[in-house]
Amino acid sequence: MTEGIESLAGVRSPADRSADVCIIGSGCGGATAARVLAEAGKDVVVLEEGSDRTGMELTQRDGEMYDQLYMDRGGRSTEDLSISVLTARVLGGGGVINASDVVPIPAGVLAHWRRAFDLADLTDATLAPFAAAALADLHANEVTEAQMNRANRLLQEGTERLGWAGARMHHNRVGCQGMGTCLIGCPVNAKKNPRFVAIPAAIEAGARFLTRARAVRVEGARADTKTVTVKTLDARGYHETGELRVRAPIVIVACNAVASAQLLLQSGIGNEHVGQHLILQPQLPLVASFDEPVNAFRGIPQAYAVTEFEEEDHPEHGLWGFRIEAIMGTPGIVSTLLPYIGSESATMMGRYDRIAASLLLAPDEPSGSVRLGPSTRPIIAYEHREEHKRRLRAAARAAARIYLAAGAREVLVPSVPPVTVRSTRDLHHLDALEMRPATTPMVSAHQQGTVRMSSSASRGAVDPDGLVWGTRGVYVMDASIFPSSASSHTMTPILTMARYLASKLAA
Amino acid sequence: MATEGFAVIRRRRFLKWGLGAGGAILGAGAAGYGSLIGLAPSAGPLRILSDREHRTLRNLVTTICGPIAMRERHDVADAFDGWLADEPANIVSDLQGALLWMELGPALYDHRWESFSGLDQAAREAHFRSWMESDDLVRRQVATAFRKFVNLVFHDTPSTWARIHYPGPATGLRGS
Repeated sequence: MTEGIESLAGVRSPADRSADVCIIGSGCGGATAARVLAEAGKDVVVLEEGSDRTGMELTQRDGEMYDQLYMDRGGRSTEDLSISVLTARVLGGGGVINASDVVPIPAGVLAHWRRAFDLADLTDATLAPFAAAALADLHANEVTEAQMNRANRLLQEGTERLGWAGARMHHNRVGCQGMGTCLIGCPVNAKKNPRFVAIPAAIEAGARFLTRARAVRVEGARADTKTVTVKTLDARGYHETGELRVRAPIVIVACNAVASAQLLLQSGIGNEHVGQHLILQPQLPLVASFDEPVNAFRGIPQAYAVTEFEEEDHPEHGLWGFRIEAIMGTPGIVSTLLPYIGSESATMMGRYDRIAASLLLAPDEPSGSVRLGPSTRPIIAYEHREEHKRRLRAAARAAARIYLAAGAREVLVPSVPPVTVRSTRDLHHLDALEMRPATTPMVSAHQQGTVRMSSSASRGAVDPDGLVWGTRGVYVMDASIFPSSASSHTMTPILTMARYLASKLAA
Repeated sequence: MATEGFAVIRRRRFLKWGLGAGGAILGAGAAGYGSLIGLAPSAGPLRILSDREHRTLRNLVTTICGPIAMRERHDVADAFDGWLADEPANIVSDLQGALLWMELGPALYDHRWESFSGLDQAAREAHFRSWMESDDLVRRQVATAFRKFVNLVFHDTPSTWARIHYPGPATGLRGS
């Protein structure tokens, strides 16, 4: 046992616990809140369903890592199979498995929240110290020219040839060795994520972290003391082995926009907005084939972003438009995105070293929900609206033009049937992209909004302090509270808001 | 593992299709069922799957990844069997229903008295592709789910890396 981190894996008769604060979830929100509150002198217990995996335990192998780092082994998705809903299940949460992008909440988004949700306190000035602290925790820095791999350079070259705006991204890596497996964990611990910043600081201040501890119910939402029922899990995290209770006057739910809503629904806590207003930010992958070896599987997968078409201050939506970012994955995950079978699949994967890929990111309106299912897994419903599809088609056109300008022999949108572009004369092929459910491998890495914040219980599920309306001492501090897309990447917004809300609570 | 959608394919829809398939087979009689499905050789010790289900999976592996997967197909099917052992009971039964449905697919939808496993490689690919492109959402979901699982496990197998020019996990690079 690492000091302050106790694994409950396989424990059949665990002892009950008590604390000042019980936090459910150890990711960007939960770990940050734990740190702030522990440093303020609170006795804090954090519950995490996943295990603690660092260093070479992060094996760079798809099967094992999706099994151990992702909820439902990476198989979580919307109920119609339109969109993979990627969420973490590991100590440190999404920061362990994300692409390490650091993008703060744009001023235009805060203005939208103040305007549309009456969140008057969320000004640039109010959040500035918390945003600065978040950036410091992340050791935020710009990807250097030398760190750009060939796939990112191709995206940059094409963008510059078209005269469009783009930039190297900011990230939270320090000491990156370019292994390229960021999405299944960094074996050299280069990511300055909560596992290596907030969690050690929280432990130093006295917080305790329990792993393989699945919170299943919170009771006493209006009582002085809440009781959290916790199931212990076996070593691999699939079978419940025991049960304990954690009692605390304050409970903070911070286990992502799907699981936080699920836990509140299971517990019968909150108003009719809990589980509603789900934002998925569905991302569409696009693949470009080159004659030259690209070897995108090494180096930083996501280092360059095309920002030409992104709006950060849309009057109706806040963040809007779309952006294009390079991406790459290990062979297993790349192969799951491709639309081919048989010998066509073998041929396409035979070009694995010659492909560069992008994700087309377009913010969306809230159009989904989370509800309880017949097993321990929630059901995620989502209406993929035509307007969003139109922006994704526009993004695919832009990305295809970029890759063609960079010398690609073919650009593929990996839908069924596949849509390919070999020259600008083919761009109209992209208009045929229907994006019917279970035909196009869309991905959601930034779920938000299911317990959204509002100054009125009639419009949201938590108040401006993060307190669940109608409760005493039950808070939410993760991306669930964002009433619209907070950013193209939610790590920094979650860190910022968790620091802000936890500091208010500590005071 | 990326077994997308296995968890969310609706049980009622499987029951509907399963009952339909069962009805069709019963109509043809037990002897007809036996002649259609046939016997499967022992796949060795299995935790969840039957020998017939394991055979369907092995054939799905070569259908999805191509004949080059002949050597690895048994291991991929075994991985699926091990994966099922950790899944909730409702998902296990749904997936077993999906395997049966896939096996009976040619008889149910292509109007031919053949099982999926009874088809040759080209016919299996054509049949599977028809499910990928089907107007029926549930068939597309089943095809998507199996395609993702099989691909992820197959391409996570070191013996497959040389042909895709992937050198395997890095061991301490510098720079980039």
